[in-house]
Amino acid sequence: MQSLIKNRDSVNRWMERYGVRFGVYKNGVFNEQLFPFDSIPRIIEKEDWKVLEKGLIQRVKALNAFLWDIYHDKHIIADGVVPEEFVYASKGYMPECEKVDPTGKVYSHISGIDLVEGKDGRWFILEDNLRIPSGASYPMIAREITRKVSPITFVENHVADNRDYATILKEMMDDMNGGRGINVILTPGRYNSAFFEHSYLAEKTGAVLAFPGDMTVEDDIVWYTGLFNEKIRVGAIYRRISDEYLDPLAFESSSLLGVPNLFQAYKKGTVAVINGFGNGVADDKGIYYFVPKMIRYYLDEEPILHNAPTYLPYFKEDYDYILENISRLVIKDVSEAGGYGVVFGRDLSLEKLSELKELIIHQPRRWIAQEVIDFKDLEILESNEKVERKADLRAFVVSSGKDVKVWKSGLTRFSRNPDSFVVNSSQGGGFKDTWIMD
Amino acid sequence: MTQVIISPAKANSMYWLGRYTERVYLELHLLRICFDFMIDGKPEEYNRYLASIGNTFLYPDLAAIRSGLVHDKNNPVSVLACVEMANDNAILLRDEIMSPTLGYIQMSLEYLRHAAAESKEPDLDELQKLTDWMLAFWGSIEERVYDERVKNFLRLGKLIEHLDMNIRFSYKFYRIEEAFTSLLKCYDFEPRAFSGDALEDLKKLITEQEYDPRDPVYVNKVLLLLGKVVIL
Repeated sequence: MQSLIKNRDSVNRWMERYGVRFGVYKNGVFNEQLFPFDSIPRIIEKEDWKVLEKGLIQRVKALNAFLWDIYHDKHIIADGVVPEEFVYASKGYMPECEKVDPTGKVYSHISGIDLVEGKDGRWFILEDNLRIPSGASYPMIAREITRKVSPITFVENHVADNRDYATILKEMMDDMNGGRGINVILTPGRYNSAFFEHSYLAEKTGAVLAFPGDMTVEDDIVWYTGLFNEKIRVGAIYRRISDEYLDPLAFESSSLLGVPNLFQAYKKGTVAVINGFGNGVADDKGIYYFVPKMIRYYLDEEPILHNAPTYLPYFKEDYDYILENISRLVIKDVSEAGGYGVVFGRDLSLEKLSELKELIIHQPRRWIAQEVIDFKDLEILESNEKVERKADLRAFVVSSGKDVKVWKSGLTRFSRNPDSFVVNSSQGGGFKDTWIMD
Repeated sequence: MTQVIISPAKANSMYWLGRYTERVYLELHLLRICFDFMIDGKPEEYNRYLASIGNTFLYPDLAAIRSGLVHDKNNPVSVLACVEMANDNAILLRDEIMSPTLGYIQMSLEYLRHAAAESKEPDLDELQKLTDWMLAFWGSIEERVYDERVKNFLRLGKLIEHLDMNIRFSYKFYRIEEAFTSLLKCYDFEPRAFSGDALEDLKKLITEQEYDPRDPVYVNKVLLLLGKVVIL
């Protein structure tokens, strides 16, 4: 490990060389920056990983079952497990997806599940990301580089090899594709914050990196169009564009990013769209509360992994509790993502707290409240000194029609601000490799 | 990867990546000559070079010229501006050219950006790195790209830029002829990428009898046709 720490400048030089960046818009100006990498890895012991792996598979299976149910028979609503207003009022619910059968019945092919480890060693799920979770490429390339820069570190430590993510992804894409055509990764373009990831995953999976305008739909078949009017059929699209912008004829008509009539082809089942349409209803911060109930309902199992203790103002008991304890809770706006819309009660003045209470009283469905988890801090290097910072873990779960696999790694993000719990890269966070010990 | 078909936008990026990397390589070579003239303070010599390279920027003194031609990102003929343009195209092609190949462009860009930010005086010895990286870029293309169409579009850009710069700088005819013969091989490989009319006109002008790089009318005519001959 010392060798890895000693060589951290070399690691960063390699990151720079490979263009490992993410884009941010500040005051309307696009800038690309290096994603700060910290050489000290997060280490997860084999036994702990076994539990996490089982729990993650269980959770994602339940979430996929929920999505199928919600867009088909809605048993979970009829049986009173999830109140219907949580489904239909969710911004992520898409009525257009009713009775649509995605290939292999899979909605969330790539699930990014965010967890934190408490100081007592227990893991808590913070949120599920089932639409276009990003971040796998960073630990992928970090491992490739660190193995090169400090081979001795990996001789001395028995770390599970994480360089198989592209293989897992490709196998899933091939399975969803079913030999109908080529695999593509659809990017909104180079000014998207995650463009590095889109292009890197295309390189590593052998998929074609497609840009807006590269695909057309004719007679419900999707084609990738080339020079001189050449075209080739597309069998699977790993899209990195949100639902609403993916088909201007079905959704946001002003979108220039999408493929006209793609949704029609998806409905006909002639192309797999990865992740499927309409997943937002299941990773809504309000629906999160019900995931343990889903696991019991669909799988008849007890949840292996736990949610952070969460309260919904929708329920009277929780409503009273939140208003009484708001100053020590973390309040989240269900419609926000990326670390935005998260407020710690303890950071607010009395005036701001009462404004927030008013908002909760008037729009109870818009908010959830959680106990502040005392995360286990992780060591990072700052100016050659080890300091402790808050960190989370995004685990990647890949579901095909055949199986559900958890990638033996993950993106550990940390806050560089000693007083902050927000780890998002867009808000200045950095990342670490995640070692699963063999 | 071996791609079955190439989108028009990617083909265009390949062409311009070929052009800009060749431009960077040749500019570095020519700047060494230009800087050499500056040692003896022969304005008529280095001014000719500045005009040939297409520089329209005015700089107050020799040091500013040297620095501007390498680090001034606002000057479209500077090495930094050309590397930026190469990178803008390369970054869209990572899946075609692979990360290690892209790495040579990224390293060049980072080197120049840092040097420009530190207002460093261009160091010819240090700039050899960039020349080496441009050569390594092309070596990496040969090593890692198997799709002949991809290579052909890159090569097409490289050859057009090579001809453009060689004519601007009055290279001997045999050098022009060699590059033009290679360009015709690209045509044989993918004739649809060419304007037949422009190619025919070029064939008439790029002959030993017609070649006259000291005649500005001739040079402009050929440069214009070189800009039109590829239709991607």
